[in-house]
Amino acid sequence: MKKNYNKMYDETYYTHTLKNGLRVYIFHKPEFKTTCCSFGTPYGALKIHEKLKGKEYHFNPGIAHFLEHKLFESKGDDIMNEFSSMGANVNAFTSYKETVYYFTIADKKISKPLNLLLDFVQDFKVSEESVEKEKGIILQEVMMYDEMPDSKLFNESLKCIYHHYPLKYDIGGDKKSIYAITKEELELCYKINYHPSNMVVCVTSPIQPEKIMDIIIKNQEKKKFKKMERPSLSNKEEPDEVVKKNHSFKANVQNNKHALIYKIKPNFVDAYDAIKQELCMKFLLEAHFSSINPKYQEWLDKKIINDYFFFEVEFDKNFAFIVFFIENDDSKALKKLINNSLKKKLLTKEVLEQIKRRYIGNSFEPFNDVESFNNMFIRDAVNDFDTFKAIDILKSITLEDVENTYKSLSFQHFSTISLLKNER
Amino acid sequence: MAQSQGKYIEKMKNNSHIKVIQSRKYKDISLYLRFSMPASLINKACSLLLSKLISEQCNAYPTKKEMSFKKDMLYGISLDSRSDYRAGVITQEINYSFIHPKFISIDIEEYVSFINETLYGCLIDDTNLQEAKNIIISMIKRRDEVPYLYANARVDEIISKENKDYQYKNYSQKLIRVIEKVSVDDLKKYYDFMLQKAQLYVYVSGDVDDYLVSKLTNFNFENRIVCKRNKYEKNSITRKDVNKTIKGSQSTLVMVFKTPYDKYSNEFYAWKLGNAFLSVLPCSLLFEEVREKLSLCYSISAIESLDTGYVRIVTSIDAKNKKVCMDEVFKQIDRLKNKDVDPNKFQMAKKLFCSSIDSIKDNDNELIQYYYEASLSGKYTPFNEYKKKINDVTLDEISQIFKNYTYYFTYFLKGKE
Repeated sequence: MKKNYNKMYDETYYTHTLKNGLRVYIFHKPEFKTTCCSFGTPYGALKIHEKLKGKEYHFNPGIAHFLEHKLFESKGDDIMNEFSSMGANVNAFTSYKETVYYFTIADKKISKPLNLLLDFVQDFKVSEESVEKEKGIILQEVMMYDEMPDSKLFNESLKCIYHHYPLKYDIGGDKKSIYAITKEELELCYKINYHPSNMVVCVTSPIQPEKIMDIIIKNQEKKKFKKMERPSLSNKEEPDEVVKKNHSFKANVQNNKHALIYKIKPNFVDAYDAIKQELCMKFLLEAHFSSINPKYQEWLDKKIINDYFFFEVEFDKNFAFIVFFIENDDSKALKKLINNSLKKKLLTKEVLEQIKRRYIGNSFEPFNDVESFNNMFIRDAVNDFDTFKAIDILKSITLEDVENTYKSLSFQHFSTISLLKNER
Repeated sequence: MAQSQGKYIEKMKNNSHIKVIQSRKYKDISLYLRFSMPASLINKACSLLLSKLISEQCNAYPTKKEMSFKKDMLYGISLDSRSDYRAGVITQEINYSFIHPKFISIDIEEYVSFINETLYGCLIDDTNLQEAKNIIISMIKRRDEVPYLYANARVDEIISKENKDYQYKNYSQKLIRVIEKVSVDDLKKYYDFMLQKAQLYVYVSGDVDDYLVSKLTNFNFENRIVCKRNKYEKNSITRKDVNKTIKGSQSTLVMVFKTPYDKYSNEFYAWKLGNAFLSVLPCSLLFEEVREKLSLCYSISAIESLDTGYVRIVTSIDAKNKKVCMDEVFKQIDRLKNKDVDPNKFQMAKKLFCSSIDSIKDNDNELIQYYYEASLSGKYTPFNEYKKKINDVTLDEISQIFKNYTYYFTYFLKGKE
């Protein structure tokens, strides 16, 4: 077990890779009472087209999320009740890039729940009947998000720009894909994506790390896993062009809302390069489209924008987009505002320093809460990304880096999506 | 009182409180101020407007650009303000949170100056007030865009006709009209009263020593007055079920029950534990029967009002399943009345509840909320005693609790494509 120390955050953590390839991270936080143990796989909603040993696998959209639901029945017992009887709260989440199962407990006796976590995630058995029964529950979950106008506007924006890339689907899939999922498909998907060599266990706890590591090693030594390669992606090539330049739909909103989404070609060397360029773009947009820009107040006064105006930047090795949201009756106002503002040079060395300070300050926040921190860390770790390296990248960014990123990106492919008022 | 998880220090001065949660577990230092203001719609409106204004502009930093610059240079110091209503008073919450100076090269004096400049120098003029009004009103209206928030807001409006307290919890059309009428003078009067007279509770959390605490809590505690609690009227009104239709594919069901309990009741602990069987916890009978066995919904849970005793059960379902879902909810309440609960599940509920009490100690925000509520209600229960009282609850007591649940009305927001 290797002891590591991060000076900036004053954090000590331990790492170890087991014989079966499972990577373990343990953060020792003696001041806390709560322990959080998370078990994650880099299998999220984006991996529906995979390749392994020359064979291609195509799964229904939403399968990662469906699998997360069904794993809780994998031992045939009621896993939630078992955790509850130990005083532990168990939960899970599926995002685009990973699925994480975790529990929290405010008790020093973590051996039983930790073994249970490792066992239920590593033993998938499900009946056809329970797969069928789950479909109604998942459909209601997907519909619940679909009824939220902001979430719907974001999803519709992604659908407008991606022809093939699975970001075009909701994380939970849709009615058609949910009802098409079978027991056999879930088993196959589990088999190729839940191998310990792909997975990570992350624990944040006041308990001695040696004790925790011992529980994990003993649990894994009892199990046998055939060697397996990590599956690769097998997506169709995504064109540079968007699917639809304009799209509108109606929902129960108070004011019309619009999104302007730019489809960016992801030409990044690796995940660290993607995060660096994402930060560069965020810094540039903060200088233009937040209260840092003196014009921002004028836009508010002239009612060009209101408090709903915001943007998101997402750069990854396999995809990249920038999206702006506005509440306004004029659907063209947003594009005009962005074009006019970006003609000016607002990001100076001083402004860059100012924004970097804010981001550095904000990076401390997750460390105050055991559950948020543990799940933030594991999401990076399953994707082979070092959380602590991101802060070094942030600190190193120069004005020249931002200018280079902006020059290197093409903003010619975009869509405008309008969410218009319904009568209630 | 010293505890293994940190040190808790409490002082009282002239009806005001200072509580310090001294712990190395947090990377930042937080200062939480809670001003208790008398309940009235004008105070509620002023509280919402001040929440917006205080975090964006002040005399020292009169523009958003200057305020952003100052906050960013202090490594993103956060200044949040909220308006809350509980225990018969409106609370103006003002929270500051900043990275502990040991991690960065900022002197504590700089933070203290910022706190004083923003707390005492809020800029209130016609232009800023109008902007704050526009933002608050559009935020209130935007809440109605999400069906379950819309349905719950309507339920609040209905309940407020019987229980006037709800008008301070709810963001109603009436409140919007009051917000529109607030003048600069009204808001300045509210702000002056808050700074000079309002009962004040101060909480500090983080790795702080006596020097830092004294720097951060140097407030005027003289001449503050105990806030008068609202004594609301409670009319008994018979309600009919409400059915509304909206465009959408999913429907929202809200079932409202009346109970004779609140946080002052002797049966408080049995009531809390009883509601755990209708909650989001895995011991919930609604989760087990309505979601897991009947696959009717993704989530279903009860929300209780600790001040007034109303309990509402909220879920999102297919319109055609309304009756079967309601029947199942009544069936599960009958089970609880009849003590038809597996003894293991009963023990599990107690364990989960006690675990959630323990985890409050790791979250300074929740911990402060716990202390603040205790101060307001005058009923402080130490954590160990709270857990003991939960563990002492019997199934007979749970049964009695549910025998006193009265079905009040249902609000059904039917989604129609």
